[in-house]
Amino acid sequence: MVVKNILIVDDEKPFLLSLTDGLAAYAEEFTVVTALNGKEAIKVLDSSEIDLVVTDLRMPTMDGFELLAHMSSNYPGIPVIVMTAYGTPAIEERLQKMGTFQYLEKPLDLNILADKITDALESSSSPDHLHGITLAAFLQLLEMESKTCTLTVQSQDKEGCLYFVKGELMQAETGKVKGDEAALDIVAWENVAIEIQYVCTVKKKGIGMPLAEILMEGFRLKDEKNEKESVAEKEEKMDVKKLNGIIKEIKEDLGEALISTDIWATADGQTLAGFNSNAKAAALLNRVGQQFIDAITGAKFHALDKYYILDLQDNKLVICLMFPDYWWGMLLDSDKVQLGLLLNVVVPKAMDGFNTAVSA
Amino acid sequence: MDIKKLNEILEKVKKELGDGLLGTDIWVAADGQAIAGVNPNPKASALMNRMVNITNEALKDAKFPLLGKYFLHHLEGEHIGMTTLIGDYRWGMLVDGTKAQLGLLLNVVVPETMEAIKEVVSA
Repeated sequence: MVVKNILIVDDEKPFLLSLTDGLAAYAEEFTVVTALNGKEAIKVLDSSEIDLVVTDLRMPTMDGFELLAHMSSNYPGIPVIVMTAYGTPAIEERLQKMGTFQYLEKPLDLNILADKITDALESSSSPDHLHGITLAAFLQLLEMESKTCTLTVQSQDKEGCLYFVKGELMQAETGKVKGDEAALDIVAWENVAIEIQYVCTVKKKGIGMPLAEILMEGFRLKDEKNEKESVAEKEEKMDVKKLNGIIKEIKEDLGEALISTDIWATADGQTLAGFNSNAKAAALLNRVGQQFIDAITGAKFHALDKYYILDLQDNKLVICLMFPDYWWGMLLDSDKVQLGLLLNVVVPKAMDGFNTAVSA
Repeated sequence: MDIKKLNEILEKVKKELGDGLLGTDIWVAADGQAIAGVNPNPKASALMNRMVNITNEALKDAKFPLLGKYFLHHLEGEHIGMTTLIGDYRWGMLVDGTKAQLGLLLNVVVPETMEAIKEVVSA
């Protein structure tokens, strides 16, 4: 087993000594190196192979925030455990949700610290693990510690600034965009490099939402954008001509029984192909299907799989075929449709045809 | 209401569908409480009852015709969940799609059983 190197950063020498002594029992798993502030910690990081950093936030010379900011650009792969004496369980829970980093309350329980170190080291060796501290966690620590500062955040070719006064986010800007819109964008950036300066020139508040809300909404908007991009990417690859060909075949099979049919993207309900397109019916089936999925998932029942059928009053029948990201709905005249034909011929043909068009 | 008769009707369904029938219940639409069943599954009855309500609400909002006789879901593991609407009552069943024939189910078992249940509940 390879012995890992842990760097513990704190300005209290006796505390560091007691931690080093206490953690000596884990010498087979990891060895401990110490530093009294961020500046010393950076020297250690520059000169040794460090697998994990455990740091306090409040230190003279160079504090934990400056160290974390430096690590975000220079050592983004090293996991971090933050120690602070001013947190609450609610803040801890929020912070844990925001990223891969761990958070510990002072005074420390040595066994808990050892467990957290072991967990962090184990998970950091997983290929799916995101290393280092996230911007969201960093911002919440700033709020918790009531910091006044200006953050410059970089991610790929983007750059933005976040301004804090006594832990309150006052303003955000990226390019020509300012305020909530800029904050919602910046907080969701990935692989960020952070620079921190303990000055803030902004006096007037330009942000209307609380930080926690900005973080949640920022991530939601990012997920939504990613989903739309993924659907748009698939649509570009989809052979719509082929889909229309299959719809034509199905129309021939079902004859007058087929009133209308639409294939739409579940993310936005936009129709991709259809016959007698009925946007209202597509939106309705999209909504009903999503509600079915929610109800079934909530009840931990068998998941909805290939399709659902609704027999409606007024002699109408609806079938909705479910594919990843796309659904295909058909509105039928129940007096004219034969269920055997629908389920044994039309459904398999539609499924095969759709999959061929997607993989074309 | 003749509950014994309802249970007999469901036993007949079991006989017709054999191993294909995983469970079936008849419940009151108002509260989702089951009054008869074979391999009863109260959780499934409550869920299906909720799904009838969800569907009808969405249909009503969109000014579409409401649910008629039934709705059917193809579920993972080739299971079929089917719920039929009989006045103030609902009859639901969970079927193994690899063992039960859908044609027999939809064209024979369902119409006959719905008629028989209707007779008992409206007596």
